Amino acid sequence: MSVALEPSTARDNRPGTPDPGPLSTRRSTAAKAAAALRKTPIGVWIAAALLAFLVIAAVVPSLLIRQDPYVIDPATAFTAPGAEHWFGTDQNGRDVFSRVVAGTGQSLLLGLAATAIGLVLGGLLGITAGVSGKWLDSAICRFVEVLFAFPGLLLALIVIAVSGTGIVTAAVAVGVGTAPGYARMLRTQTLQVIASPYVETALSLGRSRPHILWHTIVPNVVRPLFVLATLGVGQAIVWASSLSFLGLGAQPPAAEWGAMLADGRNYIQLAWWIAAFPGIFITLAALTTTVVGRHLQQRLEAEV
Amino acid sequence: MNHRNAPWAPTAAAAVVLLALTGCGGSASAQPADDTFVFATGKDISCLDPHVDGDMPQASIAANYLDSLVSQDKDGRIHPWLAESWKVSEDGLTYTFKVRDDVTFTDGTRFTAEAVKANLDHMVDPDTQSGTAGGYLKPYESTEVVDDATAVVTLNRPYAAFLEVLAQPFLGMESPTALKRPQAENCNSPVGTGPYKIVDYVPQSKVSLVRNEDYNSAPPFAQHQGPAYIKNLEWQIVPEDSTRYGLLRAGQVDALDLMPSVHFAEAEADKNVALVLQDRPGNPTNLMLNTTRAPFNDLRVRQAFLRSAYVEAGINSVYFGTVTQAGGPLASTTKFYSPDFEDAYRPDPAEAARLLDEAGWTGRDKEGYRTKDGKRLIVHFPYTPAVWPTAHQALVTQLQASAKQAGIDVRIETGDFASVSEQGNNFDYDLRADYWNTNTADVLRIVFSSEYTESAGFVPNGSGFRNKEFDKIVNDALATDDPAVREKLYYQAQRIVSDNALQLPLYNQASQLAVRTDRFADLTLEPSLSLPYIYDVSAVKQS
Repeated sequence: MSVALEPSTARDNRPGTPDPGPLSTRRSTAAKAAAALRKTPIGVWIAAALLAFLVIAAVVPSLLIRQDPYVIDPATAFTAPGAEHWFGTDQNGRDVFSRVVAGTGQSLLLGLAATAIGLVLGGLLGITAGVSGKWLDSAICRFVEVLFAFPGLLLALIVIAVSGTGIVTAAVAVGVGTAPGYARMLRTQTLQVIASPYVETALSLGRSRPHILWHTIVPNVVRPLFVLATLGVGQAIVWASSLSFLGLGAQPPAAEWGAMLADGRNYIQLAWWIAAFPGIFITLAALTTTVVGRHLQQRLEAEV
Repeated sequence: MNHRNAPWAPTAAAAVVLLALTGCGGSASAQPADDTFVFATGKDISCLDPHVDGDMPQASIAANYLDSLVSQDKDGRIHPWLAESWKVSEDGLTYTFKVRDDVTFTDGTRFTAEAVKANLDHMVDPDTQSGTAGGYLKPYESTEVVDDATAVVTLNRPYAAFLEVLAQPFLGMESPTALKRPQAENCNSPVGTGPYKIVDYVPQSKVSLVRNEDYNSAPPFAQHQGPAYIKNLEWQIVPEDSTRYGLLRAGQVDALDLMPSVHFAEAEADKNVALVLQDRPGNPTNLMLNTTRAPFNDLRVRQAFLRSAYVEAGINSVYFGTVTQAGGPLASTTKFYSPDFEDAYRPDPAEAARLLDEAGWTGRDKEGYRTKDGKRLIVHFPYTPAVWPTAHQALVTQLQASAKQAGIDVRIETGDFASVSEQGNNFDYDLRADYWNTNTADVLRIVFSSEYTESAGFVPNGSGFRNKEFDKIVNDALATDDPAVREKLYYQAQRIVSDNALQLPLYNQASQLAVRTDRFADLTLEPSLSLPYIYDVSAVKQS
């Protein structure tokens, strides 16, 4: 626990009890927070702002969309970016800006869902391996090593091959693809926590093993995970887009960034905007979540 | 020739696509030497042996390493090739071929009447899974080898198109010794008597061929005799449209097929690039409507779907006028084609609405789709984007949108090649993207008659249409040589197909090659299917 997150107790601040200790702690807490904000690099601010924009696009796309992203109009196909169509139109005359915005929700949701699935699967494997001794640990480790033999995206493709295409399978596939990485990290984390003095203390206090597992080990293992997850979301978005790019994720006419990129890539000499804007947004989504995630991770590490 | 592609594992395919997109291989960095012609094909090759399965990319490469029994010229007339002469019996059931005795396969096996038997038997063997060659040979009964130079082929019914299909590279003659090997092995290294022989094959990447130095069996349509002019032929597989075109512009390949429509104007303006364009006869590019299950078992729903489709607008916008719209069940270059059915199903939203009302699809759900008994009007369309041109993918998306206007929910369900073709062969779809290139109006029998609703490999009749009257008409047309009678019969056949709204015709298939003119000359099209023919290609003298 960091000092900054230590709850300050109001009891010590009654008037007439001049106790400078806690008071100074409070002051320094606020000051530290302000200092931390000041020290936050400008890049992180930009990333956070862009991320906020993406979240708005994902949650209330109707604020930004000006044209129906699904209405085709062959007569206006391949219109260059301009006042009428900010990002131009695609080969079917659909407004690229509206489609990019409409695709934000799906892309972010896919990224989050896939990361969640990866974390849960990885967490189950990793923590189980960490807390159970000998043979189960070793069995899980070998299993994870086998999975590691496949590059993550290939693992995702295997899941797709078995269970068919679609947006839900894409999320599961990417989740499974990332799970081995999380499993290994969480096992190590679990082992560290088990070896820590507070677990030893808990043991010597006579707490039961399930109690220690749920109240001591799991919380301490899981906390750093959230930061890891922020980092993972960016990667998951890229992978999910890759699957859609290959035609294995979102189905036409869905406005999904990867699928739009795939649609536009063969027109790149004629109409660069069809592929460029979805591509830029994939990059932005991955970049912003990663920058913000990395910053949070550094903060956390500095505090610990 | 069905529309199929490599039965690749989706994982491998996807991985290769990824690699192709992300990698910057240095293999083709230098200009190839004068003695190597590099051809880039846009569609993967499932098996190099064209007897198996039978898709266009197989025939394309086969035309360069296989010879056929007979040849066809540009006007459709049949000439000798490996067969020096033949005699057809009065009843049209027996063909007696006299074959050349001085031709040898590139593995050393002699070409004899025994090879004719081995090849025809191989094509009709269910284990070969031959949708195309085997499909053409359904009237085939057996071959009797009289002596080394004489083969007698017996058919179970008159088949006026027999010699025409024999001229196609799909029915090319392979070494009987090589055919005895397991199929997988023969797929990777088939052996013919042709101008080139296959020396190496890296699936999904390239086929390397080298000149057959002993070649002595050039067909009548060739411009010279003896060995080919160019020593090495490299057949690269480059499915990515813009990559393939980029390689040509950069001079790293000498010719390509499936020229991307988006680059036509630019290629035409390039003085070092020539386009070789030829519409192909047969059944044009289309969407086949599965009549064996709801909702397309109802003629009115089929007609409504056809009325909802704005094909012309789609073709103009995404193909940039590089293809010709198809009207009826025959491509306009097919003999006995009638233009009478071109406008049978003009887009007409009011008529589509009337037909759907009449068929009982009167309800509307909150997304605007039509319903009947609370169930939405859904049309399942399994589709593998990777095996179709970019423009085709855009076109089907546009048709999906125009069907939505009519209240029809077309679900384009993209999948890998293997699963989509499995659905395609089991009538597990409502729409199937198709085409069938062949040099005769007999394509109507193959694509729409009852007999072809079943097959060991690819099922040609994707509509599942079964109609005794139609079957009789198309079989009668094979039993006569009288062009007037055949014309009348094929007219009736086209009418039945059109009246029954069995498919949505899109555009005519075409050979669309782009060729660099600065290093090599005389890339021609072999006449039976208009496929690229490298045999006569020669190096341009550098001045």
